Amino acid sequence: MIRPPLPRWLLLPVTAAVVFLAVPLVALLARVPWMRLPALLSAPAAVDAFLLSLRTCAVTTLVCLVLGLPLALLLSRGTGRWAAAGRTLSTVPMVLPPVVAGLALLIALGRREPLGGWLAAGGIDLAFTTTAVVIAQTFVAMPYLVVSVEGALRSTPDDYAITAATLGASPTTVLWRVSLPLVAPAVASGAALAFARALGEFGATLTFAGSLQGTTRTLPLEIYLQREVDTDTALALSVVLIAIAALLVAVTARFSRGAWSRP
Amino acid sequence: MSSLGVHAALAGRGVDLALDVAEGSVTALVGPNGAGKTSLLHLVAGLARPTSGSVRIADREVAGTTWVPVHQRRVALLTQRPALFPHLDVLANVAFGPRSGGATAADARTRALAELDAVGCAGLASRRPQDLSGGQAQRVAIARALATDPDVVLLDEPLAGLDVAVATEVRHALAARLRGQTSLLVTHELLDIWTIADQVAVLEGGRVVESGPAAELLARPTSAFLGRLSGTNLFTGTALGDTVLQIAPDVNLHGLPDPDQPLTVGLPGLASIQPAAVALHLADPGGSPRNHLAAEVTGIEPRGHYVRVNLTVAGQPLAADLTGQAVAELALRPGLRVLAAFKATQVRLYGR
Repeated sequence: MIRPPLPRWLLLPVTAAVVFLAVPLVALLARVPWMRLPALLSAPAAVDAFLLSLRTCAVTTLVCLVLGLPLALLLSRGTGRWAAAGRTLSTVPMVLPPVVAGLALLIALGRREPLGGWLAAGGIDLAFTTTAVVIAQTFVAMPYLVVSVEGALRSTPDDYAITAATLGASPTTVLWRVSLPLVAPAVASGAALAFARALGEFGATLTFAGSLQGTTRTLPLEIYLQREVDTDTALALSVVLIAIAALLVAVTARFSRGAWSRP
Repeated sequence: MSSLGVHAALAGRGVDLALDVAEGSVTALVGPNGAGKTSLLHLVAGLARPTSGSVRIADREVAGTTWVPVHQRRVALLTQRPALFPHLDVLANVAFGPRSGGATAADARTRALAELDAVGCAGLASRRPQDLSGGQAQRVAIARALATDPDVVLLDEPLAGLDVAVATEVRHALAARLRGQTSLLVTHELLDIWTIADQVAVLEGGRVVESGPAAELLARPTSAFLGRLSGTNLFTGTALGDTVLQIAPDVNLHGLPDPDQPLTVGLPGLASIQPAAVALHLADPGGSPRNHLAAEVTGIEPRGHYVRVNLTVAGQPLAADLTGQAVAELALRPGLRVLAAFKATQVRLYGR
């Protein structure tokens, strides 16, 4: 079947869009000091930032899965006012300016605030720790996992879970052996998105966790710090982030293509 | 002994059902859309909670004063969609039930292979559900449903999604596998009743209006729905003699008494006549047929080699099967008044 063609003049805005999206990336890649890349990336501050980012993002993704999957499961079943409220609450961080998210976390968990003070009295001091980085990243990244998985759960026909139950599977068995495997592609792409969002997290982290080398200074913070004093290092670290982002996009695309077809 | 008893209401859906099913019998549930057939299956499966009354399976109360959840009811559910788990291969799909019931992997596998073999699908064990045809998928679903030794098998139009040739194969597989297995089968097909079921229950407006052995009910239907399903016209009226049924004031039908269940004078009775035996005339033809009834055409449906003409006679529906040529010659159209004629020997009269 040949579909009716799109009008040719569409090429004009399309070209503009492609140029607009490509030019900054190309410009950045053109300025990267490729020959000095290994040396720049092996500097202690760069290695610290890179390892810290990987570590915190891995933990963040794990926390997103542990907390976000149950939330997505419950929301996917929910109807009515409470479910709508829960859905709004769990997606707000997606659209919230990260610096506002950081401020909110600071006010809730800061040492001088009621909840934070209570935690500090119990020996738990979050401010300017790696834990604070993970909290900031989880706050902004979890919605991506929840939204992705909840959407997949909602579009899964009920009869798989019903059939599994009639076959004698307990609710827990249905969850592990049917419901979650059915949305595994969405869990994978949601986790990849959450990881990507956590990796790029800047505003909330800076506001809530500060910028201490090796403790809270993640890759984006290091890039921001170096962009004036040592542009070459900032560019080298940017290449790392671009590479990881490209990889995650590829992973996400792979899983959304590999969704279970439904007989 | 009753293996399944439903005496339960769903107030919100206007359903109040009473049905007892003997162990090992396959009961066909028939009735118009919205009559409560699927609600009945849901009550048994545990997918609907009765607002009053109770449900018993194999002499265990599962709903009423107690509530047994779906996964502890030992029921199997088969619908139009096979719903094979797409992330498991065919063997793992069939082994799912035994595994959930606590069988070892090896035992579950042996059982699954036996069930697949019983529906002629042993060769498909390592396939993915996505690679099966509709008929294969439904047969695997049958194997999966029976691999748990359910107390009751619930079937909601399991053949509706299949084309005719495939449905025939699956129908025979079902008939073979359900023999002696307490089952409820929702269907709109007479063939399903003859092939698979031994009992029939007719549902109308959320109630079970008649039930009994399939052969008896189809031979002497008393509900309009079963009459239509079994392809015969049904008139209700009062017996004036053993060969005369009054279906309206001054409208009498003459027929032959059913030897097994004859009319009793003064009591309600039914008259059954095949649509093919009804002739239509524009003017009174006279002649030998005893029954000449004033009728009005309400609709005309072409059905391949013949045309089904729907009429009303004294407020009751009557269908006549004519050739397209006859319909054209008489210029039949809705609203036209005609005379329906048929011989008394074509009318079977029986009591309720």
